[in-house]
Amino acid sequence: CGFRLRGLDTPMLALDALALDAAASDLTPVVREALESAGTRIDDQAPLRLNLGHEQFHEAALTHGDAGSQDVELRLTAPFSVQRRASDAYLLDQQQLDVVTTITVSSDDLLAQDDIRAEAREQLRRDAARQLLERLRPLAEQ
Amino acid sequence: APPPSLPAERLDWQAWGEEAPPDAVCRGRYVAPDYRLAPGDTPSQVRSASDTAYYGANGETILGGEVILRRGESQLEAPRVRVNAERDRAFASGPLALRDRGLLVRGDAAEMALDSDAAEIDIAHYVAHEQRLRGDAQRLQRLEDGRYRLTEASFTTCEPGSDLWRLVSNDIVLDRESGFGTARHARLEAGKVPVFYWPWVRFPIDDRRQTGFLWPTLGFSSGSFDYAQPYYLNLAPNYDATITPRWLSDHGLLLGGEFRYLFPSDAGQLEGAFLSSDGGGSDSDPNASARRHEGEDRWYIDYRHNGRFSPRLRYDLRYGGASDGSYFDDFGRSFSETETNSLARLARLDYRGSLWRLEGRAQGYQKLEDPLLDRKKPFYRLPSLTAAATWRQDSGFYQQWGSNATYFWRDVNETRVPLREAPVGTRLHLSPAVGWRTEPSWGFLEPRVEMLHTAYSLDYGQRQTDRATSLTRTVPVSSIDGGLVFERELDIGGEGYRQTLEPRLNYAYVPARDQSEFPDFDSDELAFSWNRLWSPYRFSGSDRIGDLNRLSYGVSTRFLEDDSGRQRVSLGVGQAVYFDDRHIDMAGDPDTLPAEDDSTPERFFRFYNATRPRSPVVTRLDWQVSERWSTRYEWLYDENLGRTERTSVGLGYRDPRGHVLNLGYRWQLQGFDPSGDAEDRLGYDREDYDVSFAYRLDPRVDMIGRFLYDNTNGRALEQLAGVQWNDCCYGVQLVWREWIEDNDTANTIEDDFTDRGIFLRFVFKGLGGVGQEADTYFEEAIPGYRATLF
Amino acid sequence: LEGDASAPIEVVADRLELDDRAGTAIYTGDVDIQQGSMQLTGERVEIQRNDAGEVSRATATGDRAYIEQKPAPDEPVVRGWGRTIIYHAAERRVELIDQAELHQGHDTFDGGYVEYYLDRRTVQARAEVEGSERQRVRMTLNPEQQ
Repeated sequence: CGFRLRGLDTPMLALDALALDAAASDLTPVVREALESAGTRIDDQAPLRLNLGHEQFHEAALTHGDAGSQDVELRLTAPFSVQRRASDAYLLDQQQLDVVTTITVSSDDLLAQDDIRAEAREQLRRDAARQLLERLRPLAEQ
Repeated sequence: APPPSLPAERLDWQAWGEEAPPDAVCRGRYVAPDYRLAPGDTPSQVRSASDTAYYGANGETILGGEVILRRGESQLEAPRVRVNAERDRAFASGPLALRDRGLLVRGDAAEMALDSDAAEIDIAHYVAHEQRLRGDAQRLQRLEDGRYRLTEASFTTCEPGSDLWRLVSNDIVLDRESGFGTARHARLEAGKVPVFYWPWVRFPIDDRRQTGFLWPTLGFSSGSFDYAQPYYLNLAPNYDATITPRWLSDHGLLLGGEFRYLFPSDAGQLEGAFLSSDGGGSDSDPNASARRHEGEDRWYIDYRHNGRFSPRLRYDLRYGGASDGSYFDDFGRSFSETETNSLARLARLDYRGSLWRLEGRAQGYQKLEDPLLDRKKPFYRLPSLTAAATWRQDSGFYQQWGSNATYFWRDVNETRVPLREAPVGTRLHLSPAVGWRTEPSWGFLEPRVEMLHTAYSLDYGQRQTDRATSLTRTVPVSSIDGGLVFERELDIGGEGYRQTLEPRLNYAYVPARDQSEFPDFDSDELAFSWNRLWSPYRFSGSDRIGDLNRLSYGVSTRFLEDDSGRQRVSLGVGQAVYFDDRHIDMAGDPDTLPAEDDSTPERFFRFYNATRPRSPVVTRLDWQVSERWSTRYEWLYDENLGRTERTSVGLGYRDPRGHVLNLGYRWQLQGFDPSGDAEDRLGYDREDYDVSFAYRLDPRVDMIGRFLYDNTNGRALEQLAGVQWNDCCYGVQLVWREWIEDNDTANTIEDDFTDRGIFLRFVFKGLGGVGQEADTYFEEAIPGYRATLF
Repeated sequence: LEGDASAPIEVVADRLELDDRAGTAIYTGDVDIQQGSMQLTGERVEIQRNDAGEVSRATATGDRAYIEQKPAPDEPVVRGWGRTIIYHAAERRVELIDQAELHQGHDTFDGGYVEYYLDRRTVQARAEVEGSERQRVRMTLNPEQQ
């Protein structure tokens, strides 16, 4: 049915080097690591430069009640853009990473809430990094 | 009284006409024309242009006929100007116009100093273009230090021709340097009707201060009237305070205050309020012993501070406290405040090295429940020290170190709480791990072993028990996670897509360890979900490590647009097969299983979850249908008993112009979620319908609404309707909300009652400080809605 | 200065035409006339004398005729330009006509027409001037340096 393993020999992102201009937020190291493990070297002299803004978390209460557990929609957004280093021309401008998950927090386990949120945020950062790689792929193949 | 205003065209006002920017709330803007004469070579040199000019007998200079006088940044236009012999004063007769940096003043007569910024204009009409301020005054004086003093004057930010509101006073001083104005004997007129009077009032005239003068806030909830009148004290450029006396008809006078400070590397905020001998409040809560806090002092305090010693070393401090658990139910100034269910206390030092991440924190919470039972009080971490690091080698091999030492404490009568929550004590939790991860483009594989070592030294205080006071537990958590990524090109409706097929396998093995005498400081059982398929942990926290011998298998497929890489569809299906029963529950005894008992859904689920051969089949779908429509769907189906344990369907519409629509349906079996205390678990199957929307009629009018319906018990859990006018010079937010208060006992609905409130807030822009943070509750209640700040 | 009117006149010019009957002398071509502290230059200068033979009026014309005079020993020189300059000796009045410019003390005037009284130091300026379009009067006032 036409499926074959993705890029048996070529790296996931056919981009060997990329300059990274990123804000000091916890998303940056995760993106850096995802790029490196996808075979892309972070190098300021690379032809393309990725600008990554600050991560922002938004919560929306899905269920009701301040007693017992509550389902909360946790959304991570981060602005990014890609420029050609030489001419500063924008290949991708004013784009937005946007990933969402649902967590259950309970006012009975206030101590656990921190860990649950931290784990969910870490997972969202990995999802955002993967989404970024997929958004960069078309640029790499041009 | 101030002279009548001038028509718009005399005030540099340019209406937008059709090319108005999309989100413009004003119908035009002030545009200052260019200067008509170049400035002198030196700031003190005066240049003039006129039809006639002559020296009078005693050395005066008389200029006539469309005279323009330019001195530095000021330009005076008048039919006739006389400059005195000493050349330090110019006298102009009207109708004249004086222009200065971003300011226009028209008047009938003016006297202008030539050796300083001083000027005085009679029958003046003024406009500050940038701040969108205008007004009229019998006399306007520009003082030497650049401030403006207006006598018998008015002040507004409404468009010319609109008299929606204005501030009238016989003495106004505007200080553009500090961004503040003060007025004496000031009265607020709304459409010419006096609405309010101040003997003395101070207000911001630009947006530098985000809060600035907060305008009165009115509230009506369950029969009581609530009026707050904040006063803003700008103490210094980097710290300010707001005092807010607040009158509640059924409680009394609550004095609130907020102090904020900002320094280069740290900032903080202290807020609080105090009410002496509470009037008792209305008895909207039928279950509460009527007026239970009558006569008591009610207060709350919340201090936050965060700062940085260096880019890597950060610290933050937080102390929240309240006189009782229902303080915010009675005095919450916004809906998000009334929903506050705990106040955090924290002192944290956080070091992020390139390798090591160290954190020391002292943490606790005041749980806001009334009455607050001892066993519901959370433990304090006094302190909790954490150290973590990861070493990676190019081969993919990695080692991780995780360690935490925490002293848990709480002030309860240990004889009246469950035994496992009775002790206080220290817990050392080490979590070293080794693993190997390879992630070629076609998949990934990660075997990993984590050796969890936990040691306790406990103190049961007066509680008589034969439980050990020092305990240890060492348990390996081993898992293998692997997956492949297949891809193919696909063409759907002329659009090129890349479809991935991602099978995944995850085996996890955790042997059972006796934890029956272990305390419960921060652990709780987690409800099953997609993420639990791929994680070896069945509990949160470190007091319980659940035994597990299961294999999870799943497959996801995603559709990505070829040209942009944007994900349009993501569909995942997964299930786990258990090779052993799960013996460890919160009781922690490895040799027993929950009794087979289906007298209640909860008891049945406890037994069934421990012994079921396979987990529910988890199906998850995220589909970005179009630019604006998206839908999310999650379904947990137990094919063993042929029933749906949990499902949620969501449909979202997002329009860049600001419209939002969310439709939701949630179903969850009673007993599915094991977390939380017994009396807080849902005592019925949850079946909710959830509709929320935000509709932007035009840039000026926003409507929001939410309706959350509990179909099982046939009642509306939450109803919210709000309208918001965000006009050029004023903002009004009117919100009605009715909600079920479940009094911190979710499992029975007998003690639930309906609470309702109307919330009215109006802001006179320019006075109230634009950008006041709107009530965050609406953003939490309506996913995708971003409140317009006015 | 006070004694200018009776001071001797030196003239430098390319040509001179005398008209004894009208009592006028017309110098043309880079004319430069000095009388005491007053200096008058222009393309063409016409001097009229009164019955006593003293200069009663001098009219200088040219692309940029120029006049300069020291009103008093301790005061800076007054300088004036114009396409036409008429100096009325008796009244000690100077008319600068069309493209007029006057530097007097720390001030400068320019405009269509400027009239200046040497003794009283009063100045009159206006935009209208015959035979040319209006030229707004522009002044630069510098604060008095007492």
